Amino acid sequence: MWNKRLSDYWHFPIIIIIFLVLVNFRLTFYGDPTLSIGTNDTSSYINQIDVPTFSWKALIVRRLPSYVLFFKTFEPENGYELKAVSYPAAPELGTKTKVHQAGFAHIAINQMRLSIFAWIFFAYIFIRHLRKKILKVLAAFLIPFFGFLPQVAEWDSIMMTESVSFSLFLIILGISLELIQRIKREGKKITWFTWGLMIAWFGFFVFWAFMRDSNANTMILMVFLFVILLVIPNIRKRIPVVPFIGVSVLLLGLFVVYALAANQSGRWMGSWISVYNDFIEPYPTHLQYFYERGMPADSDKTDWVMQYGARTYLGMMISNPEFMVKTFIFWMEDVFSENIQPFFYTPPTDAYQWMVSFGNMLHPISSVPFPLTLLTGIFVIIKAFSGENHNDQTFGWMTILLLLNVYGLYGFSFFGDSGGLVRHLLGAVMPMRLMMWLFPIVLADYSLRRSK
Amino acid sequence: MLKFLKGYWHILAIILVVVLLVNFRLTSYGDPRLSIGTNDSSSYYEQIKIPTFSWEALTVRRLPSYVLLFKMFEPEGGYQLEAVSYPAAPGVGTSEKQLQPGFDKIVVTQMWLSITAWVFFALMVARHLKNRLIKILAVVLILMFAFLPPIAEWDSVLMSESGSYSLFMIMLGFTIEIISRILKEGRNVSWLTIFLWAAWFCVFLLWAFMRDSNATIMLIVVGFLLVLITIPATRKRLHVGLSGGTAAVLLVIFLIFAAAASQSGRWLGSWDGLYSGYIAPYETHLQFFYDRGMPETTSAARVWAAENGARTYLLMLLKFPRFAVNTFIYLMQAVFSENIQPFFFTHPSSGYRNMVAIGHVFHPLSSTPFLLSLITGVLVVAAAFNRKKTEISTWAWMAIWMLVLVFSYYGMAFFADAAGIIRHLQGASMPMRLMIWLFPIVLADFALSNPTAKLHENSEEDNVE
Repeated sequence: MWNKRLSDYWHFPIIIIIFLVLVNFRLTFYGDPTLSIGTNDTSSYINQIDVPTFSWKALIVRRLPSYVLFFKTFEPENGYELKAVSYPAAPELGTKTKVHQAGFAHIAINQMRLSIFAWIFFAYIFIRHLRKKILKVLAAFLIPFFGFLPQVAEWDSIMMTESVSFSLFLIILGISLELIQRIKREGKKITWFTWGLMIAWFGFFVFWAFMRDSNANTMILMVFLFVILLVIPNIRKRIPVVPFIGVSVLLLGLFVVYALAANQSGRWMGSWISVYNDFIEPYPTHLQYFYERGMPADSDKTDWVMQYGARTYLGMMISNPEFMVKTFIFWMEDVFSENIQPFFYTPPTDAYQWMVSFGNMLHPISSVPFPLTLLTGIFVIIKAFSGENHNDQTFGWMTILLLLNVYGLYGFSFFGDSGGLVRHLLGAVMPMRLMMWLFPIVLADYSLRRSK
Repeated sequence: MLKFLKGYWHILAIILVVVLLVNFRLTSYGDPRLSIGTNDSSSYYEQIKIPTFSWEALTVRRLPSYVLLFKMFEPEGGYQLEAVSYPAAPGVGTSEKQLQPGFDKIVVTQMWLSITAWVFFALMVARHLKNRLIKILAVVLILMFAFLPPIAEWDSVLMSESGSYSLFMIMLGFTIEIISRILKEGRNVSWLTIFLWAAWFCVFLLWAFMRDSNATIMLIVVGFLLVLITIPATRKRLHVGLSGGTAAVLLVIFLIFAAAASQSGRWLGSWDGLYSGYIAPYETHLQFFYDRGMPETTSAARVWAAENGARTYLLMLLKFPRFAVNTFIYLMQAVFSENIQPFFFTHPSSGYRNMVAIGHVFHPLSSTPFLLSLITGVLVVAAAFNRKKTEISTWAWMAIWMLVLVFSYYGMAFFADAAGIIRHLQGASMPMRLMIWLFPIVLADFALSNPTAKLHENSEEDNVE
């Protein structure tokens, strides 16, 4: 009996050992986790902590409320005092060294804890849905290792949204995978636990969406996906309609509120300046397009841009598809040209150089994840839906959700702001880099399954 | 007719894809007769008077395979190289391709050999995939990979890269077919299989004698064949005479190559790079060499190295494994940091920029292919050996073969010369870049040809026999 148990569950202790070793590595490798560094943008979050989170004002100020909530939660008695600020674009200013900063220490530590939890949680859920034990072990190593290398881990020390945004995305992905499996199994009559997971998914998704403007745009993509699921009769009859309609309506409502607030906020002006400098002004035909639609040629454009900028820019993109496609292709390599935070310096010890080298393999400084993830993702979807076994479709649905979210996020961020492309697109680039490793594992898992 | 179309539509689609992409290759790079030489080009055509099958051909500066191409197309007045590029000294020479008598035939031949090789390989891959859509996709991806600037532009450069890539792809194409036939025929191999084996052997030798780093792979192939003969499970399904004979002949050829290489002094070029890169900057390494009799003056050390350098260097790597591993890991990103020939300039038209951008996607400037090709290759092997169909086992052996060949090549070329590692390792980095596309396609083909309808409904692992 023990022998049978051992042969059935030998992978469990191995996976637990892998998790423990990797978490220990993450906790000990990067030095004092209380050290932190701020950036040019950090103060804008601190300055908003007095704005009530659930208020109109919270949506029309410079920063969306989710990350501000983090600062609210850990605000020290005497308020925040940012000492170490890094300016990568102006190396002679500020510092490149992390320091201990009261209040920020709690944030850095909690970013690290959340990140560790998110990567282990996602790895656990992912391997739960693989069938082959050897692939479970491989994924159990690969996923946290990917997340604990400097390319992801170092963001935890930076007072910016990246760390939390990555972590929340992974938690959402993990819950999505579990939810899909449960809905496939339970059909229309979902259990209370599935209800709970759905509420948790919604909570995390909204929290993530209101972390950055580019995240918020994906709410509309989710609504689109859910509406399609509800419209197709074959799918509708196998899903709980009420919660799907509820989530869609709530997300649509939130998106409309967000869009109205964003329009009023003037946040769009920062992006407009980059877009104008890169995509409009250098091209006489593009400028002409704007002039024909009433943009003033020499006077202050602010009022006009606030009212018509976004819509006219979208119209320009649609009427110049060749420009759009070329810009998208030509800049792709640039988007993937960095993989490590630029804000602080880490002494290049042998061990650190090893980790950076491994990181360069897992987080390629190359545009290859864009098509390879798409290609292997499509393979997973085709495989998942080409059989009759509904349990096999879990990864298929997860892949649809992921591709829609990640490629939508990439598209929105790419055309939404041409300034600081590398950092602004990291939210899409990081999951593309991750999925490039995971989809081949899913394909191998499908290949290794045996007929009865 | 409709029935025929239903059964073979994918063949028509593949033919269409091949025609379109070959047309793209022929028309996208301007006049294919234009060529450019490098610092090394003259060393090839200066050897054309040396008989190919002679001891001298093995002891001079260049191995005979690429010289053979120069022999075939020697113009009446001999070669006269006008356009020579020196990427390390941009003020010297030129970065423009030119029409140069004699060389024009060489570059056109390189182009046609490249087109033939890649189309042959793509068709062989497609032949051994099951799913029709995947077959078409494989042909598209392989030919796109090959006809983009990172590979296609080498055809205009008078160096061994283009020929080396093409022969390697032909060899791989033969390998898939031979593996599949041996798995089907077992010990009683047909005449066609023997013929294919002989063709493979000739192409392999031509490839091996293209560059010194290729030639060392002969030893790996000998080792591989010997392992197959030694393991009872594989021996009983293999034509032992054919495999053993090939291993024996290759071993003899390798020994001749090694003896000739030792006499040639070619090693001293690499020695200079190794000395300045891996030995001189480290006191402990220098001391290791001094302890073994190396004189302290550089010129005397060079003379000493001609006889004792290679062996002592190998011992040094074994004595300092941490240095060897660290160097290997730290320089990995650098090895993959370029993907386009550095010898000539192409006007960056919009179309060309598109091709370069897509080329970056297919030929990543990142060390990712090293690990991703290894992991996906191992997944292919694991997935294939878990099932019994011959076509699937073909891919398992093919993946093993490619991984063994390419990773050994990488290791040997990496430690054999510290200078110019990007170009010297392209013989390995190019196939690694290819494998990150090829192996996921194979995995998808496995997955799509695995019937899911009859699978277990629960999420427990399926029983493994």
